[in-house]
Amino acid sequence: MDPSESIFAGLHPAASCSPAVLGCFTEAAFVSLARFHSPSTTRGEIRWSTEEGPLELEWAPPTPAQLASHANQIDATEQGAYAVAIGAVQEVGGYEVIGRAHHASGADLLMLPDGGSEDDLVRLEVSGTCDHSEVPRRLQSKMDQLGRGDLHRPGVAAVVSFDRLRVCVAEDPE
Amino acid sequence: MSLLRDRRRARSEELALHAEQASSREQRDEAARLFAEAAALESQVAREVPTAQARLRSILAISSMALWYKSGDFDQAESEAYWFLSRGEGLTAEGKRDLCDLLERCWREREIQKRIGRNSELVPLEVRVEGSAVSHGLAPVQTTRDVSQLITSALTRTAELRLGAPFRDRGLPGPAFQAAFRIFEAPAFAGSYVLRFYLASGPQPTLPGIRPLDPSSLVANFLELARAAERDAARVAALVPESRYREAILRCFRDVAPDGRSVSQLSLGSSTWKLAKGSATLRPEHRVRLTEAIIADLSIDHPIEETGTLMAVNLKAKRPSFTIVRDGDTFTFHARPGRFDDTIGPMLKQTVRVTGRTSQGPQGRRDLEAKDIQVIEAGSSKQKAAARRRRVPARDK
Repeated sequence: MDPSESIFAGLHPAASCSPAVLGCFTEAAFVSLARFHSPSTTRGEIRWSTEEGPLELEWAPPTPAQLASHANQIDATEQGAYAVAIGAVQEVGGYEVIGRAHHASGADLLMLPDGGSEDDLVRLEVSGTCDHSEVPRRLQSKMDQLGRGDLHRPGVAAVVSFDRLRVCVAEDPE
Repeated sequence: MSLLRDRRRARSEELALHAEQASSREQRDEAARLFAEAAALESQVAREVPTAQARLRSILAISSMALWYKSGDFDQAESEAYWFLSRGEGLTAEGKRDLCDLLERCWREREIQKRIGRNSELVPLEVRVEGSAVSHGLAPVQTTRDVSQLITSALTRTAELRLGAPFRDRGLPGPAFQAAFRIFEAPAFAGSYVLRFYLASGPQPTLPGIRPLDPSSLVANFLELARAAERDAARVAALVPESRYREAILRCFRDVAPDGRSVSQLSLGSSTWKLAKGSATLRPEHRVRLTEAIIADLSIDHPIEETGTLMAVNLKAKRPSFTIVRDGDTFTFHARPGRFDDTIGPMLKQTVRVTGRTSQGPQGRRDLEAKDIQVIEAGSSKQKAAARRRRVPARDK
């Protein structure tokens, strides 16, 4: 994995999970990005564990219908973060995102390492924010959650900020 | 085909997503129906996972149970948990624990829902207490009682602020406001010390202009204020322009912040899918910072500071007062109505520091007015002597 050359070929991550779900997350990302940036390319940075690199997202301006569907900024930020995080873990981390798993307080994404079997299942916990200064605190909080037990490890935490485009990813191996 | 890529899971995901969208539009019945459909499909897949794949089986078991829980069908969620737990094998240790925790949550919420009715929304708030005096399932009763009272006060003030109510000077909220929201306290989870509250919307109030309060928004607001208090008191000022509410809320968070003696950290959060995740953690340094913010916000001319044991409180008098005693000397302070109602109760019989002002009362008697009071750590007699009549820098008027 090398984040030094991180370019997402558009915000249409080719994950194996439901296209309807991915479409929703992608729209939310467009809406969240549009709050702070002009389309169609936004540059930022990605940090994967201790390695850093540039990040470039290509995206489309949201339509009025998409803006209306994602009018709740808090939900749009969280869902948009899913789309960006899926792109990051797939293109930079080599994972395949295959769906969500629910729990009482929300849902996490499930992924497999490239070529891995179901026994190699990895959890992805995602957080989105529109305040980039929140990123370190949120990442630590996500890592604390991952450290909780055998269902959460191995796990990956990703925090996405939209005001200043930044993706921070940390792994908690088995 | 792998069970993870099973089409039923993809369909379940779509249904769950539509359910979440319906829920955010407050279409609760539609959300419940969609969650239930999603749960049924997820359950089918989960039950087919071989027991040899304990981790995957556990994750999907919790997922199917959580979807039933989100649909509000606690009986079905309970059955789902029993189905997996009764088979013993095929679950990891954390998987069994998470199923049991969710089961316990279902039981609590089912009971509360019976009391408040299916049309009332219910949202949890958790307060985790950590420190040297706290261990698995045990915490000092004084600590938990005080925290519970302060959190209830802070929630009530937040609710009144949201409802646009004039600042309440005395006593408990009136019946109309009590009808707008309800706070329940549930037992802590086994093996933790987490105080659990549930906030529920009230029945339709009888007074015009008072609408039922949305518990999700109330909890979200409360946590936003807690995070602001954690980070910077100026952020609280930005959220709460009205000075009396701001002072009351800052004081609640200051007094609930641990002093480091037996509790080192207190975390507030809500483990509900209905809110975006966000929590706040208060530590002893926050207590100091919030005190500075409270004092800075008050205009204190002719300042005075006294320490002593809080022996008597009278909040019902026209001019509320309280008395502290030190080395046989008695100091009676008056206070503005409503200033300390939320926080002074837990301080009785404890050593406190009072910051205030002194002035000439009728017949030339010295009048002491309290601006702030907080519990302090018991110190040496030298420290206590040093703290006597320490002057607090006066603010420009």
